[in-house]
Amino acid sequence: MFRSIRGTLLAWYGAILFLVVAGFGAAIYLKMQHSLREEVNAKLQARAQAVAAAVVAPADGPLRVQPTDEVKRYFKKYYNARGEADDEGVDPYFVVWDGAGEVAAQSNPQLEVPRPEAPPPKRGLRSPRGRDRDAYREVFVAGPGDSIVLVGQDTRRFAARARNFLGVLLLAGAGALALALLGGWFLTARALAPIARMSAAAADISATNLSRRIDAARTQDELGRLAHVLNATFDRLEAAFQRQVRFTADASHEFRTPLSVVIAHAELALKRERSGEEYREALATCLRAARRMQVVTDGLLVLARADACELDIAREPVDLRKVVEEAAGLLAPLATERHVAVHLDLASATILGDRDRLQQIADNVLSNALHHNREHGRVDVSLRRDGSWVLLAIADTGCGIPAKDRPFVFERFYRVDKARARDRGGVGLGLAITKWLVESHGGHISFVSDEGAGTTFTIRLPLPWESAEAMEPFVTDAET
Amino acid sequence: MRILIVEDEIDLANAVKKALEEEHFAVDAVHDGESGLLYARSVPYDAILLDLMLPKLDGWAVLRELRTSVKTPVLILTARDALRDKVHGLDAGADDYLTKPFALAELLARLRALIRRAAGQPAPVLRMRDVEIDTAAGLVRKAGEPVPLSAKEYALLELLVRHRGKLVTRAMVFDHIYDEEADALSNVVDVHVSRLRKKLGPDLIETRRGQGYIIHV
Repeated sequence: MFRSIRGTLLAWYGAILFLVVAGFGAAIYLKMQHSLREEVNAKLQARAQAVAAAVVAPADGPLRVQPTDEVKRYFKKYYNARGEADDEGVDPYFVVWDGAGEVAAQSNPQLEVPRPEAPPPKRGLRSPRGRDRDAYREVFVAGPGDSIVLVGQDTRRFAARARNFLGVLLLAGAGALALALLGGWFLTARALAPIARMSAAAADISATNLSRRIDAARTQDELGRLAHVLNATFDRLEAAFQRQVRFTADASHEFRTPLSVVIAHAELALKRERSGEEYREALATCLRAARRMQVVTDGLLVLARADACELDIAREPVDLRKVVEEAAGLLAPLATERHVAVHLDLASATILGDRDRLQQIADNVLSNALHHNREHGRVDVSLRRDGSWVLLAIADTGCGIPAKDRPFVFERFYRVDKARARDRGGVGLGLAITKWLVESHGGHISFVSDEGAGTTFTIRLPLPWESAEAMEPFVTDAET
Repeated sequence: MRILIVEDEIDLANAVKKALEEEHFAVDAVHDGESGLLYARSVPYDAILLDLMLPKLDGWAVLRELRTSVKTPVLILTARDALRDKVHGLDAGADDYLTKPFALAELLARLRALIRRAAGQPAPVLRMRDVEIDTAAGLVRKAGEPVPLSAKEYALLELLVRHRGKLVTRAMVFDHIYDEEADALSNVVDVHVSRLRKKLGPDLIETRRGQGYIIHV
């Protein structure tokens, strides 16, 4: 119904306040009216009693009123020609009927007052009988000799007073309501201002301005906590966004460099007539660059498919020992070339997985260990069981990974030594792919690096349930 | 004109070096930031082509170090194409910025413009009496007729004309028209000068014995 919290709050506030003020007003008004009426009744009753006491009923003559001082004081206008105003400013009147129902005495002869139908209460009863006749309030009591004494008064002035009072009540109530609503308007504005600021700040934080934050220093209240939560979300968003930007920049860099090699060499070769040798050289260079782009493309494709969850991982029994042995065999020429000794210490361990992907894992990590090793270094490869896991550890004796690079080792296109990685055709995707492959097998890859002494990569893969139960004895191969 | 290429992508550096040499430039190529800085400080290059992502010392650092002492125009040649990188590069003291992949023709044109500006001679065609050097096309005409010159003859002529009215020492000639691999004999300059005189007229270039050469305005 209301488009803003402020409107809703105010509407509720206003409605409740209205009910309270109206209730109070009504109660006060009714109480006041009631007490006015009581007051009038009490006065009339006292006068009626006084008049009744002044009624003289001789056995032989007609009824008459022998006014006492009290009666004279009550009906000044009638008994006192000087006409001092009654204290209420309203003239009361009395009528006395005798036992026959004839008017025996009357303070104001101009008034036509009908004789009450109902009999007056017996003397001494606490409450006199009363009636309302037009604007008049009349109270009657029994007098001596079956007479009826009635005292009445015009109550229009009291009614007017009550109406005035009602008017004042309504005015004051409306004023209080208006004041309270105004106050409420300012209070809600004050209370909601931080929300408006936060939403403005949040709206301002977009893809181009992700580094801005909501000012949360001010408060420890609910809004402050909300601001902290929002800021934490923005932190994560910004980090993800920056990773994406860096990834795109890196990917484009990986393509631009070989592409510029191809373009420069082709342009140069085509500029004028060249010898066959020069053409061959230009083509060979272009081919090298193209191969590099192919490596990048392949890696990116694997990762893109992985990101889109389109890569199928087979689950067939694979003996990891055979996989690692094969990788070692494949990379033996590289080990020889770099004068690195490879030591294998492999237990047999059959897991469920994708043979080709597992092969890729072993190839990647082992070739990294060879590439990042020093000349005449060694690589220790061990495969063993640890409870329901298989642990594949590959330790090299290379230069280690500098502490500042460690958090980024598994990131796409991250290379510790960019120049050296490029010499061997590395594009910085190997470990990112390896990590993804290991995790898609339910495993985990980590490393420990000692700068200057070497790095050990450990891959943990889950054993299938039955195989873990069997607890085969270790089968250890001799060093190869 | 002698150019330094600092580019770690050896295949690319070779292509650019060769293309520049075919345009009469003398070119040295190095493949990391540290050697780039060392070369740039020790040889009075006419322009430097600088990659940003370099091993040992990155391009920004080379530029920063360089600008404390060297005025040589620098053209940044990089695969980083973000606006931020360009602004950062130019503000760090580079004179121009070209992103990879680039066309060799554009690289050469920018390089020539850079050298013209640095020399305070914005006209691409230099004239001395009836001799005209079209630096964009790399052509020399005498009285409107093309004169065939070898690469070194052309480079020497351009150097002398750019410094016309001033003495060009033998050392300057070696610094600007030969690269580090050339092992030129000292009298090779005299040979080029006498060939230029033969092709362009005997009184164009004056030899000051023991000092160098001068073309009078």
